Amino acid sequence: MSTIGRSLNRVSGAFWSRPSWRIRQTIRLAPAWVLLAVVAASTLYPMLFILFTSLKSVSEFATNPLGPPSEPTLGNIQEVLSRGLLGTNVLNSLLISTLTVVVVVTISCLAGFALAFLRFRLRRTILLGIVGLLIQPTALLMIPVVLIVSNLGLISTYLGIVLVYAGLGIPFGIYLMYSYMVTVPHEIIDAARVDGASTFQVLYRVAIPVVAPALGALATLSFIGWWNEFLFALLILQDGSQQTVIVALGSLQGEHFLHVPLVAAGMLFSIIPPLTVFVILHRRLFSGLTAGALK
Amino acid sequence: MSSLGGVARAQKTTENRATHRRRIDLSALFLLAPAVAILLVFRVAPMVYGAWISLHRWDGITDPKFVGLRNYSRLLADPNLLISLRNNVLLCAALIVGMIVPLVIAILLHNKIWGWQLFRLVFFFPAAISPLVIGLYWSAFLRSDGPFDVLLRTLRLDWLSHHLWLADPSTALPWIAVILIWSTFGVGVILFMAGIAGINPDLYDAATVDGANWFQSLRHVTVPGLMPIIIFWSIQLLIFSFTSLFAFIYALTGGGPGHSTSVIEFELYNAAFLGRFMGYGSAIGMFILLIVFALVALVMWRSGRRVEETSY
Repeated sequence: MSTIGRSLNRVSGAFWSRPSWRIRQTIRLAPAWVLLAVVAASTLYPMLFILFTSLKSVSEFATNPLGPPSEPTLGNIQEVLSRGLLGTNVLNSLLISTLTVVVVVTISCLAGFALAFLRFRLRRTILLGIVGLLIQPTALLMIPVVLIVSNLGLISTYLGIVLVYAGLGIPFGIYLMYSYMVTVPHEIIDAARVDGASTFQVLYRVAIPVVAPALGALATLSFIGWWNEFLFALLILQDGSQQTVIVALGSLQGEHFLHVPLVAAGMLFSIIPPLTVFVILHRRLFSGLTAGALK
Repeated sequence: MSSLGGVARAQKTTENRATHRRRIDLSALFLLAPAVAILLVFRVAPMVYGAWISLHRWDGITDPKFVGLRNYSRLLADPNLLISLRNNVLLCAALIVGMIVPLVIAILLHNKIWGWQLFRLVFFFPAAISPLVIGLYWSAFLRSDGPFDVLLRTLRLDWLSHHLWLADPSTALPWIAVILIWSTFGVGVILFMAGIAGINPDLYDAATVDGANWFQSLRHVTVPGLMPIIIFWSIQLLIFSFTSLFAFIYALTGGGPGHSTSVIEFELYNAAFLGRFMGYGSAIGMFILLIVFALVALVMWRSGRRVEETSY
């Protein structure tokens, strides 16, 4: 542990320029590196396990659950495809999470802008309400939201689930946009106003460029989060033809809980899209996330 | 003439200010209307509706029957609910103590240890896949003949092998705690790394000059510098552990064996959608709201003082 501390005392940076110190440092941190590698193996292995297992037969999984398949088979993937998991459910997930991203990003951006730049009546009340909703435990919404969605005639519709997701997602979205926009110096807005810019010109020319990184982070985070959501999708999308891939995976597991390779094939389709989006956009996601949390 | 002009100008500016203000109110209304409408219908109204349902006995089909606070007294006497609540509290405590994992990792990665960017990316993977998939993966991984068992036997830990980790009440909950820490630590790493980067490096030099060892500089520089983030992340984990565990529990244990690994929202789901006790389910929902608000208020009240004490 002392290695951590010693390096901690030397974060000032001047030491990095000295290669000899760098080599010594690397050797000193070797045990820590091994520890990190073990943790990384634990977070990387699930992807391998899902890929390997989806290519195994039940009998091979029974004798070889850990490693790669010795006799790869596409049977599980074909079976999952024939259940419409790729066609219908993955397309449903894509549609629902993309629509949710558009709705959440647009609405959060407009509302965050109003709260940060305009001085209007009820501003503090609305701001307080949004912070309050950030700590509302959403589990309590299960029963009444299902009843409200059903009264609106939106059970098993794309619109129903997108509106529910928007309700769940926009308090954080507004908060993130707001905390970015309040950092814009007021002089810039005043200057734009003196130049005769309208409120909407200020939004497009000043505010949106400032929050662009946060917008990207919010869109990425929303896509991943709502692609992965299970509980409300299970409650709202009761009809198979509208169901997301995660709900379809839940019922696949329910019907074939002993057939691990088949479930793994379903898991494969559930993880590829969000992981791809994450790996491509992770830098933007990290910087937007941390800036939002630190403000 | 000049004085008259001044009056006219003054009148014009007040008029302008009033119309300007009205215009701002109008644009604010336009900008906020979609957000407020959705939040009222899908976040605020359900809360009020839930409070109303919780005072009734209702199967969701026939007419609701007013029963006063009977659902709440039933809730406090329900042994399964108390077990679930205890589980929530234990998992919440485990997650908050488990913050030590992302904290240590963030310190290591901050030192630009070889491959730190790749580590940071890979550690976030569990946070980028569905909780349902995480649950299904771990339940397959921990099967008595699954990959974990092969691993144990390879490491010559035969006495631990062929164990039903998630079906044994004494090991199921600790495993769920590990799985939850594993699912969230990647986010903690990102937050703590950003926090450490924001700490003034001179403070470490000053601590070293004062003769502080690594633990002392961790205790007196890193942790106080990270306090706002530690509090922020504790509150997030607290809310998470009382309201976002459904998919994990659903896929891992189904709340079993018995109710030994159930959590309070799982009981809510079962009461409402399997038992069709809408009133009782809603009372559980109100109870969760009460607990979370009380705990968040407690953390903010306690930390409000601490942040001031530790800030510099």
